[in-house]
Amino acid sequence: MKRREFLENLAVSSPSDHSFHSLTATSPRNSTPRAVSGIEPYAGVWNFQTASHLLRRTMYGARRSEVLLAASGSLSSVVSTLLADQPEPSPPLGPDGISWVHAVYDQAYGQNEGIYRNYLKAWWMGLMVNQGLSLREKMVLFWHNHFANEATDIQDARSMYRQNALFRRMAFGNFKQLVKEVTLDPAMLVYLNGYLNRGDGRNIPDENYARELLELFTVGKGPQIGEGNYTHYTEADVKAAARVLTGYRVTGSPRDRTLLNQPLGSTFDPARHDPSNKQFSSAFQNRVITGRTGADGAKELDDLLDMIFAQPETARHLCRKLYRWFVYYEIDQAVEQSVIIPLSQVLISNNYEVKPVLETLLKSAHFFDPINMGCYIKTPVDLVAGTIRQLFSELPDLSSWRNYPLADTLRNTAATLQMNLLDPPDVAGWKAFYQTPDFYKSWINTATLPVRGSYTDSLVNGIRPRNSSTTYRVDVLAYVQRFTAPGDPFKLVDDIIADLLPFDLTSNQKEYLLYHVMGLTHTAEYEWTQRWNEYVANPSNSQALTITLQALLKFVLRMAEYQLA
Amino acid sequence: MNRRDFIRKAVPVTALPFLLNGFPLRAYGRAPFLETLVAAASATDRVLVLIQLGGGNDGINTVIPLNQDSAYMNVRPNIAIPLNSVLTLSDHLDVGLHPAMGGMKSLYDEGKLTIVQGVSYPNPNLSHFRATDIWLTASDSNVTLNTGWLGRYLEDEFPDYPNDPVMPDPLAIQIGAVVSFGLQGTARTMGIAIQSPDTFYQLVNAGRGGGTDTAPDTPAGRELTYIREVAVQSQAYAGQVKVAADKAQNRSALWPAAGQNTLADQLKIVSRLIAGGLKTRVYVVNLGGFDNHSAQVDVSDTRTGIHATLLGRLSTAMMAFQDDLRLLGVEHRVLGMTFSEFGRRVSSNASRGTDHGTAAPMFLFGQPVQPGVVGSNPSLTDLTNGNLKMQYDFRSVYASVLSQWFGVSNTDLQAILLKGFQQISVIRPGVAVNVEEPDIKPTDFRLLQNYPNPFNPSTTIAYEIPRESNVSLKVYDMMGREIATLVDEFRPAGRYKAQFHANGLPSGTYIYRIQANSFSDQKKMVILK
Repeated sequence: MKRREFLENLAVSSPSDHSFHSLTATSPRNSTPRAVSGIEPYAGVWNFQTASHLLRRTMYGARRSEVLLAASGSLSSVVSTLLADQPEPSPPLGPDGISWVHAVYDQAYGQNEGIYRNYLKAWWMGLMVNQGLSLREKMVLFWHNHFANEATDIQDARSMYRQNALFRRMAFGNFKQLVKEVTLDPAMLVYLNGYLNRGDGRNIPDENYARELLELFTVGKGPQIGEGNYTHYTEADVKAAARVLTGYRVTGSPRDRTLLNQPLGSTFDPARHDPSNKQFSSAFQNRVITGRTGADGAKELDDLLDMIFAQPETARHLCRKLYRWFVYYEIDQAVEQSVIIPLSQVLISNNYEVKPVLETLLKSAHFFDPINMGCYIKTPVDLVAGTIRQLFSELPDLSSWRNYPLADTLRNTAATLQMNLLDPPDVAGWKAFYQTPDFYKSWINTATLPVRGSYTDSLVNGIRPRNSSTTYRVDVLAYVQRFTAPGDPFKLVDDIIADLLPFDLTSNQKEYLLYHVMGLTHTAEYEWTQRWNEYVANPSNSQALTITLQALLKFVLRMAEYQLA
Repeated sequence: MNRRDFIRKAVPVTALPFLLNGFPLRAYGRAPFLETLVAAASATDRVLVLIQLGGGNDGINTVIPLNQDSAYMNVRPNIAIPLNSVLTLSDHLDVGLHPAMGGMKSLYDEGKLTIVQGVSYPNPNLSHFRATDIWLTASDSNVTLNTGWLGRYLEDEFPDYPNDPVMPDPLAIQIGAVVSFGLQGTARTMGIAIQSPDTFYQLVNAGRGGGTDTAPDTPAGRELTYIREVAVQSQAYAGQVKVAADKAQNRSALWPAAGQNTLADQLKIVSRLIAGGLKTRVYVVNLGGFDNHSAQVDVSDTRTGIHATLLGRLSTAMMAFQDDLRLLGVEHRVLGMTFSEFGRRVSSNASRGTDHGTAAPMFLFGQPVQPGVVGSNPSLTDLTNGNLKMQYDFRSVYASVLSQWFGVSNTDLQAILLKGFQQISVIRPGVAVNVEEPDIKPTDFRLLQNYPNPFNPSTTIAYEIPRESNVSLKVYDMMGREIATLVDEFRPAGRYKAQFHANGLPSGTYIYRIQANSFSDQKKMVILK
C-alpha cells in the first residue's frame, strides 16, 4: 500500500474521538488568546480527547483503559466518580513491615524517624501510582501545597502522616472545617510555632501561624495600600489573630515534653491563652473578638474563622489556587470575572463545601475550552507517577513490601526534579503555583529537563532501584497492543500521540516519527505491517521490533509536548 | 598485552595536542622522539565513522561498470548515466563514478578512498527493516540477533561500560534522534544519540523554515516554546560532548552551508567532537532517501535527479569532512565507511527508478585506507533473479575493519562476528594491525621495534631466529644497568614475542638487547607514565 492510500484510509477510518484539536489550528488572534468561556456547563462533545483532558488534569497520567471507560460514560458520571468518597488506605509501614504511625515517641522511634519519613513519602507516591479513577490523591497534594509543611523541620513522621491523612479524609470536604483542623494539627502547630504562641505572663504572642493563616491559607495577601495594610488584612490583624490563637499545645510530641506521654495531637491550655478582646481592622469590618476565659478560650478560634470566612476574599483566594492547580496559572480580569468570582460564590453558597466547586469547575465550558488544553506543565509528581501509570500494562503494587525500593526511587526522582513530597520549599508551597511570572515554567530548566528525559528513558530501558533485584520495564509490545492497529504505522503513531500527548503533532513531526524514529521508508511503509505480522506470528522473535518501539516511545516521552498536560 | 589493551591504557590523547607533561608541545619541535610519541598516542584514539545510506543505494549507478557499456545501457535505458560524463578512475579505467561524485573522485585520486565491489550476503533479504537489521547485527539472513555488531565490539572492548575508568566519554555517538541498532549491546545500547542545537530545533519545529510548525501564541503554545528553548539549552550544554565540541571549530572551507546537506551537517559535528578530544570510538551518521523506486533521475537529463542529489551530498560531505579532519590534524585517526541495506535491481523500471536489489559497493575512506578498488565490476548479465551476485560478504569488511583498524584479535573477532570471515586488505600497511604474515621461517636474525612505543605499563618485543639458538633478551636503563631478563633459554627457529612490564619504573628511555648465538642487536624504547 502506498503512503497516500495509507493516509486516505486513515482519514476515513480515524474515529472521531481521536480528532485532536491541533495547536496550529486555533483561530488567529492578535495577542495571547485566553478563553472567554465561564463556569457554565460544558456542552460540547464528550470523547476520547475531552476525557483525556479531564483525567490528565485530575489524576496522575490518564491510562488508556481509564480514558476509554470515561469516554464511554458521560462527563457528569465521570466527575461523580472522580469525586466519590474512597476508603482510607492502610497506613505506611517501616523497614521490615513494622508499624510506626501510632508509635509512642521514644528513643527507638526518634532514632528511626528519618527513615520513617522516607517510607511515608514512598507510601504516598505509591498511592498516587496505584490510584483508581479518583481525584482524591491530586487533592491531597493540593492541600499539602496549600497548607505547606516541611517534614524536615517538623521531624516527626507520625504527625506528617496524620496531616496527610487529614488532607485525604477531607480531600473534597469543607474548607472552613479543614482550616480549623489544620490550625489544631500537631504538625502545623510545630511548623508555624503555634505551640509556642502564648498569651500568658510576659510572653509575646508568636505571630507565625496567624500571619500565614491570613496571608496564604485564607483571605490572602492583596495589594499593599498603606503601611502594614495588605488590603485583605493588616499587620494589626496579624497580631490580633495571633492573640486569638494563643494557648494551643502539642501532645505526644517531644516539642512539649510535659505532654509527651499523651497521644499525638493537640490541646488547648486556657492558662496560656490571652483572654483580652481582639480588635480587627476595617478589612474585617472593625470586628472585635471578645476575649474568653477558661476552656471557652478555644471558642475564639471559631469566632476568628467565622470572621475570616465572612470575607468573600477567602473563597476567591482558594478558587484562584484551585484554578492554578487544575486549569492555568494566568488569571486575568476575564478569568477573574467569569470563573473565579462565580466559583467563589458556589463555594460560599455551599457553606464552603469544596466538592460542588470542583464539580462546577470540572464540568465547566471554561475547563474544556480548547485554549486551556495542553497548557499545564506537568509537576514532577505528574511526570513520575503519571508516566509509570501511563505506560505499564500491569502496575506494580507499591503498597507491597517487595516494591518499596521502586516507590522510594520514584519519590527520589520527583525530589530531584524539585518536588520533594512532604518537603516543599517553604510555607508558600511550590513556586509553580504562585511565583510570577514563571509559575509552571519554574519546573523546567536545563538541570531538570534532562532528568525528566532520563527518567522516562529509564522506564522504557528498565529501571532497577537500589536495593532491589527487580527490574521494572515498560513492555513496549504490550503497550502498543492496547491500540487497535499497531501494524498500521500511521494509526500507531496517531494512537501513541493521542495516548501520551495533550494535542496532536504537526504532519512534519509525525513524518519524523515515522521515517526517522521508526525508520520507515517512504513507499515501503507496508514493511512495518509485515514486520508486525511476523512478530504476531512468531512472538518470541521480537527484539528488533522491541528496540524500534522503545526508541519511538523514548523519543515521544522526551518531546517538549510530553511535558504538557 | 595485545594492541587493543595498549590502545585502551595509553596516555589520554586529549592532553597531547596541548601539553606534554606540562610543556607545550611546540617546545619539542620535530624531534623524532616526539613524532613517535604522537603517532603512538594518536593510535589510542582510532575512530570509525559509519555512514548509513538509508533506503538501499543503487550501486550500479554509483560505481558504474564501464567494461559493460552496452549491457549497462541495455538494462537501464531510462536511467543510464551517459558514459562520457562518468568519472573514470585513472588506475581502473573500467570503473567509473557517478558524475555527482567529484569529491569522492578527488579522495580516490589522493589515495583516501577504497571501493569494495559487490558486497552482500547469502540469501539476501529485500525488506528494508530486515535487511537493515541484518547489516546492523551482522547476522546470517535467516538468523535474528538481538545485538549490533559494533555493540558487541564495544562490549568486548569495554566490558565495564558505562563504569569504565579509562573511558569517561561515550563509546559511540549517534548523530540524530535514535541510537542505531548496530550499537546495541546485550544489556544496553553502547551509544548515545545527540543532536546539535540546530538540528534539534529543526526536529522540534520539524518545519525546516516553513514556519508553519512554530507553536502559536496560545497558553499551550507558549509553554511548549519555553520547554523547547530549555531543551535546546540543555542539549547545547550537555557535559563533555559540549566541552569537546567547543575545543575545536570546523576549519574546512568546503563545508556546505548549514541546512543544505544533512550528512555534511552531521559530519561537521563529528569532526569537531573528534578534534575536540572525545575518545569516542564509533560515530554513526545517516543519509536517507535512497529508496528510489521512481524518478531516480530527471527525465531531461539522467545525470541529475534525486539519486544524483543524494550522491552529490554524500560526496561533498565526505570531501569536506576529510578536508576538515586534515586541517584539524586528526586525519590519521579516522576511518570512514558507508553501507546501505541493499543495492537495487539491475534493470530499471518504467518509472525511471529501481526496485530493491542485493549487492552494492561499500566505500571506505580516510587517510588510513588501503586505497583502490577491491573486487571487480559486477556482471550485469550473470544474475540471480535479476540481481547482482555477491563478491564479498559484508562481514568480511567488518572483520577487516575490526581487525586491521581496531586491532581486534582473531579470537575476539569470532566472538563478535559469531563466525570466521576472510579478511580483505582495507587499511594501509604500517597502519594496519594484526595483518597476517605468511608463516614461513625467518631467514635472518632480527630484533624488531617494540610495540607499542612509548608505552605504559607494558609492551611487546618481537624477534626472529632462523635456527635453534640460545636466546637472551634483556632490558637496561640508559646507565647500562640491567633492569630485566625477558628470555634466557634455547629456542627453536621461529618468530617470537616477549612481553615487558614496566611496573615501578620511572618514565624514560630504556634499551632492550638481544643475543642469539653470535647475533646481537639493541633498540630503544620509551616508558611514558
